[in-house]
Amino acid sequence: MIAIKGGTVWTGIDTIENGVVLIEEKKIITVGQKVSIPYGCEVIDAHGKFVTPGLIDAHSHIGLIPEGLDWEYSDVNDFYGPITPQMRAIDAIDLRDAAFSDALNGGVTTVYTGPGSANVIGGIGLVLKTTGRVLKEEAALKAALGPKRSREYRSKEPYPSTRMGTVALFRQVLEEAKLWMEDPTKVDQSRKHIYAIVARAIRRELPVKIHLSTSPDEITAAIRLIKEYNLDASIDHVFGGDLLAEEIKKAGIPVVYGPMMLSRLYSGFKYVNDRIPVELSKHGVLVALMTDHPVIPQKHLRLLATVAVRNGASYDEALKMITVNPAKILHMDDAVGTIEVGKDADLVVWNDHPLRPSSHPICVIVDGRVVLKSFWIVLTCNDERV
Amino acid sequence: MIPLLKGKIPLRVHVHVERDIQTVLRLTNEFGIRVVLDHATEAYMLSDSLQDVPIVYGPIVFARRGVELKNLDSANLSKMKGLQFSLTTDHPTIPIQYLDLLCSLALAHGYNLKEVLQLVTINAARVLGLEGRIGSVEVGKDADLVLLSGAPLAPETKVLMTIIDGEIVFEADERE
Repeated sequence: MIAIKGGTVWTGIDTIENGVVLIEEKKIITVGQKVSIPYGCEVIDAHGKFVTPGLIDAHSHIGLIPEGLDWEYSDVNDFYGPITPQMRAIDAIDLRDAAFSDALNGGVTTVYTGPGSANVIGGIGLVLKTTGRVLKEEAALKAALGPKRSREYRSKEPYPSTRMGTVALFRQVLEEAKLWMEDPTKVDQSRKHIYAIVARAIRRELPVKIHLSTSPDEITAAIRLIKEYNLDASIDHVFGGDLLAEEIKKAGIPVVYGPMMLSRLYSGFKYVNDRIPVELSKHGVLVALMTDHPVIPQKHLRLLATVAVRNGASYDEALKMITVNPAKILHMDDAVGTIEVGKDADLVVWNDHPLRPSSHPICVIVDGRVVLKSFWIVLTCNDERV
Repeated sequence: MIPLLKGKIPLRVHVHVERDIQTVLRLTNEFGIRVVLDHATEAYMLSDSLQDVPIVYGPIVFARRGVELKNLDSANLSKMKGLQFSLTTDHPTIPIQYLDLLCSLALAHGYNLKEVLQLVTINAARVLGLEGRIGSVEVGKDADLVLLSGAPLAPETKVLMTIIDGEIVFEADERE
């Protein structure tokens, strides 16, 4: 048993001064102010420190685009064809990639990682702890709007060259999958395996992550598709989302904004604006922030929430965007994202509020195991009998 | 090339890995050329031989794409104390308005507030050979000043006013 004692505990719901978190095996068993620490319990003294849930990145490519190697080693975009739901990130992921331990040391404990945006339907991503424990092998189906005109030369199959072509192909596959659901003999038998996967999205068994390339018209198209097929979906990147805040709120669709700190380098990025997550959050939209690792190294997820504060978010709101909000969007909020009884013991002790610039993790716990400990964090044994 | 060889202008070299930095030093020593290293990702490995070499370091937050960047890490700053360096956003790599935010990461790696601010004021002026005109608030220097709403580097701090050459070029909207 481990007790974290005396710190400011930000649970994701409230803040407890001089709080205690008790961990038994892999779970949080008590959170509160007046908690008696059992005899023999290991104690981490967190006086003057800040305790948060482990941070969560709802959109990244960690373990699929290797650190320190060139793009040709990237495993996120397969140009087999524009419709590839059968591609699974779990079948490619390198759990030994150095980015995982970096992320862990940066306080990031749960991440989504998955296929890229080259294809209209790119494949299935997974959710895992940065220690390597896989939580969901098949966490979400990745779809990507925007024109795909530059992709075709690498493939035997035609790629849509316009935005309408991309949406039309997506809709066509959804229609074919519905037909397969009605009568499996009615469809092209060589594509059954594709329809079986897409059907899970139609049945809302598999969430969909819809990537936008650049512009707000794609948000409108995404909302239309999500409503039409009643998909359980999030809109990712959501550049230009500030222009459609009301529509997104009304549709009840969560978003994952980012990567942050992106320049308006190309004309296509003219709708990039780090105020978007703040505006959407003010409108009541459920917002998470993404590193899109390796675009921003995942260990800097904390810094992205600081960018949100810089752009007008409150500290609490910004911290939720990298903890409880991504947990909800990934449907992992029964296990991670807050410090609550029964949840996984994923906790970070910081020397200061995590969004203050001088802050860094001094102790990281995942599934009840201490995986990072600064030299001056001492685990003592409680030898007082209560 | 003549102003370069006469020492009137420095040579600025984009370089990342240790062996390339060594080669740059060898070459510039051979020809007696003043040099400024840009990016210099692995400079922290050569802190002894780089004591007198100006460095524009960074961006310290960036994808480690390619073998040249495999050791890119903001934590390297902790091994660069005592070197003459400033920090860069490498805009558009990181938008330039976040220069101070990148700098603030140095606070987590053993630098105090004064040292961090020097990275993007007087240190950067020295790299550019303009420390006589800009980079510090001193009598006789250009009136380039920033008025902040609170502590520098705090995420909630806003720029209230920017003055360049004695002229107000930016003023925050009071309603905000």
